[in-house]
This record gives sequence, structure tokens and C-alpha cells, in this order.
Amino acid sequence: MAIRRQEDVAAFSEFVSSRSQALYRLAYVVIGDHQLAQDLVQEALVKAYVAWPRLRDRTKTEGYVRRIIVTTAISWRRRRSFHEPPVEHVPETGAGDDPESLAADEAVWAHLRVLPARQRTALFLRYHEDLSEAQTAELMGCSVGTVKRQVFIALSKLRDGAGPNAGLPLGEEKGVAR
Amino acid sequence: MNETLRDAFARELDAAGRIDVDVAPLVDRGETRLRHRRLAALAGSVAAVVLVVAAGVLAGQSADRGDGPVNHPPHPVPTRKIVYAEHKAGIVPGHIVHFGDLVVETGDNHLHLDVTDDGFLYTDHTRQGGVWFSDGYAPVRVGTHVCGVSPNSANFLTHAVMTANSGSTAAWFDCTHPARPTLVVFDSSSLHVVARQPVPSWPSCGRYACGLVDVTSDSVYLDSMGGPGPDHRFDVRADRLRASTPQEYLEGLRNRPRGLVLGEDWQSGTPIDRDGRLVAGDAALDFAAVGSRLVPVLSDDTDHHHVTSAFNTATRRVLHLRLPAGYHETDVAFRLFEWLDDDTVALIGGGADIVTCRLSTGRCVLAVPGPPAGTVRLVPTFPLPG
Repeated sequence: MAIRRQEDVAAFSEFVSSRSQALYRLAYVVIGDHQLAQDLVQEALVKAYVAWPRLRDRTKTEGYVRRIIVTTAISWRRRRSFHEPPVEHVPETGAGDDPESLAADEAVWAHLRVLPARQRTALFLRYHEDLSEAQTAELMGCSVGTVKRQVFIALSKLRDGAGPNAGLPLGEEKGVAR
Repeated sequence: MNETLRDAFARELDAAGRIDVDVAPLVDRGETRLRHRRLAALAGSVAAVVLVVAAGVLAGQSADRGDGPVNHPPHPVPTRKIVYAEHKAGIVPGHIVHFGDLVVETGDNHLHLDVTDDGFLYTDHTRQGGVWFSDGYAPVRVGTHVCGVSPNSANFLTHAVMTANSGSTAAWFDCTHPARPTLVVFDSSSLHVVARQPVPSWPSCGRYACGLVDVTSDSVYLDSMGGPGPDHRFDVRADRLRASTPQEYLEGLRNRPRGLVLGEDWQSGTPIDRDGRLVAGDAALDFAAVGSRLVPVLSDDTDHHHVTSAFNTATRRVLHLRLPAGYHETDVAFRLFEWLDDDTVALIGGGADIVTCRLSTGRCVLAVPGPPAGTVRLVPTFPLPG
């Protein structure tokens, strides 16, 4: 006999159907591997299922699961002595892509992939998801100062690796370690 | 917004494909975990009931037969890992916390440290005065504006955060509004705040006098007047703050599965609080190395020492602890800082060595040798002023 009530299961199913793709995108950026990203999303969703009755505010459910993804990924990396996969993946090119733009994106991504997970995640949340520093800090379970520091270091590394003409931002205010 | 970064992420994510999630297996996995949790909780409840029944039966036997060992030790169920922090002498505390075999980077400038069955909590002294939780991996902030930590309130400084010596309950005061602190009760198994209770202004407290006295799985004892002992109790399930007395607290201590009573026998002896101190009075329990034994000694603030006997509240048996085999340090004392399960405690002493002792057998082992010279080791439970 199921422990969760039927309406909870239905609400959980609806959440999975509607949000799993967005969660997968975050997981992929954080973990950097397709298969591990799928495992990560499923693990986060199972944790969300267990905690479901406590997630009273449904508007915050996705934030809760995203936070699980980030913290679980970092735990996995530490537990498994995770190493970044070699940079050899070349994305599929779509018709009509500008070759120069494509090459620039690939170069940036190649350097993004080898960043530590926390730095890559901070950049993703700030520059792809358009989250504020405070929102990013909340999601990553750290202080705003730590987010600033992670972004600052990550951008410095990207500029060093991809070169000054890669079109990267100049960076944010240098963070202060908490 | 930077288009280069956005485009790089977007292009890679387009190439990453889609995820096809089947809900049914997720629900099955979730239900399995829920069933495991229920079984674990049921096992814990059964063990507690057995313990209470055994204690009741044996109390009757004790009345008939007099003092002495009266029952079997509880079967140990390891629930906690040894927790301690280390930092170089002369610099701000913090940086790393050891949690069992794991090492967690916590950043500098934390001082208060306590442990639950699920992980450990610590405070930092940043502008927001945060309290953080870690299960051995990336810490997450679970509270802010903690009294005694955030700059706008220096009250409740002795124990900024406190946990029960078994289970998942922790408590602290939130000083977002310093004139009216709020007691926060936190469950580390669900990472949720389970209660918030505003407390009256206690202007006579000062920096160290008032605050958290003790935490159990379902209550928090508070001191609003500078002791001795608690004068308020917050009942978590009833969500109610009420008056209490040191006597009520003492009786609670005597009936806990993890506790010690000092004196001639269990019935007339005096329980010690979570810090290893007498509730009324200024004496603390140490275990002094005498030959191969660890002898309970009450030491007061005037450096008077009084040899005593210590009884396990769960079994009512007197403790006979022995130094670890091969441990030859002399003239050293140890202090209990953590219950690892109902039958195992962790002590720190000597050169900050950590030893673990089985109460039922008295056998102790050296679990973590002391740190190198110039390194300070912090452990939970000890009140740490300033």
C-alpha cells in the first residue's frame, strides 16, 4: 500500500512532467555528463517525493529540487573523487549556424566544462538563468559573497583560457569570502 | 547579461538532448524509502518502549533487591559520527570540520558546533549571522540572524546553536528583531524548521547568562534569568512555551536513554546536564586517568576535585571505564562531549585525543589521536564563550 496519498502522487507526477526538462538542463550543466545528469534528476525527484507533503508552498517546489540537484551533484563529486571527462564532445551543428559564432561557443564551452562544478553552476545560474546573486546563493546554499567569488574566479579562468576577444563579461564585483 | 556565455550554455544544452522521465519508477523508489524510514522509526520506538518497560520492571526489582547492576545493557545502534573542528592556534576558529571519515570545508570564522544523527550544525559570524548544516558534504545555510552570532545581538552567546543528544532536533534563537528573539526549532532529517516561538524580552540576561539549556526530540529548555537551571520549556508538538523548573528538568534527565547520574547510587544521585555539569552548582564531570582506569571526578571552578561514581541512566549500572590499551599518558583528564549511540560515548582529553568508550563493557579505544602542536581542536557540546 502506498504511503503517499493519491493526490500527492498526482501533483508530483504533474510536477515531473512539466519541469523535468528544465531540471535536466541544470543537472547537465552541474554534472557535465548526460547519463549522470539523468541519474541526478531522478535522485533529486525521489528526494522530492519523500519530502512532498512538507513542500507546502508549491511555488517553491522547483527551487527545492534545483537545490537538491546542486548539493547532490557536489556530494557525488566529492564522494566519487569525480574527475571531469575529457573535453572531446563536439555539439551537433544546426543548419544556418554562423561558423565563427559556433567556434566561439565551442571554445567557451570547452573551458566551461573544466571549471569546478560550483563555479560552472554559479555562471549558469547568473548568466543563463538570469538569477540574481541572492537567488543564486539561495539555490547553491552559500552566501552572496561566495557566489561573487565563484563567478569572479570562473570568469577570470574563462578569459585566461578563451582569450580576451572571446566576448566574455568583464566580471562582477570581486566577492569576499564569508 | 552576456550573450557569449548564454549562447555557449544554450548551444551545449540543445546538444544535450532531452530527458524522458518515467514517473512510476520514481514513485516506487520514493515509496521504498518511505517504508525504510517508517521501519527505522518503528524500530527506534520499539527499542525505546522496551527500554522504558525494562527500566520500570527493573526499578521494581531494584526496590526489592537493593542497589547494583540490575539489567542488561541496551543493544548499541550507532547513530552518530564523531564531529570535531580544528584550526591553527592564534587565528580565527573554523575552516574545516571532521565528520566521521569526511572532512567538510566550512570557511573561517565559525565557533559554535553541534551534532545530530544526520550531520552537524555550525554558526558563522558574517553580517547575517548564519547557522549551517552539513551531512558531511556541501553545507547549506538553514538560518540567519542567529542570536549571539549576528552583530546586532550578543545575547545567548554561550550556546548559539544546540542539539539534542539523540535524534534530529536542533534549536537556536533568531535575532532578526533583537528586542524580541524567536526560538527556532529545526529538524535536520527533513532540513525544515518545525517551530518558531517568539520569546519575551529578557533584559537581565546579558551576554552569557540566559539562553538554551537543553534540547530533546520534543522540547527545548530555556533559561531567562541566568539560572541555575531552566525556567521555561517549549513543547514542540504542542507548540507552546510554558514555565518550567530545574526539578522538572532534573527528572527528565534522569529518565533519558542517554545520560549520567553522579553519586552513591542511581536513585539518590544527581543527573548532569548536556554539558556534563551539575544543574545546580558549578561543578563539571571529568574522567581522570588513574592507573588503567578512567575515574569520574567532579571539578568545581575553584579547582576542587571530588571523586564520585557515574551511573548510566538507561541501565542504571555504574560505569567502569578503562583507558585504551597502550595509552600511557598520565595526569590527564577526559570530558564527555558526544553520545554516538545509547552505549557509546566520545571523550576528549590528554593532548586533545578523542577516545570512544562502551558503557556496558567499560572498554575504550583511541579513536582520533590529538592534533599536531599548534593546532586547536574544537568539539561539540562545550560552551564556548566569545
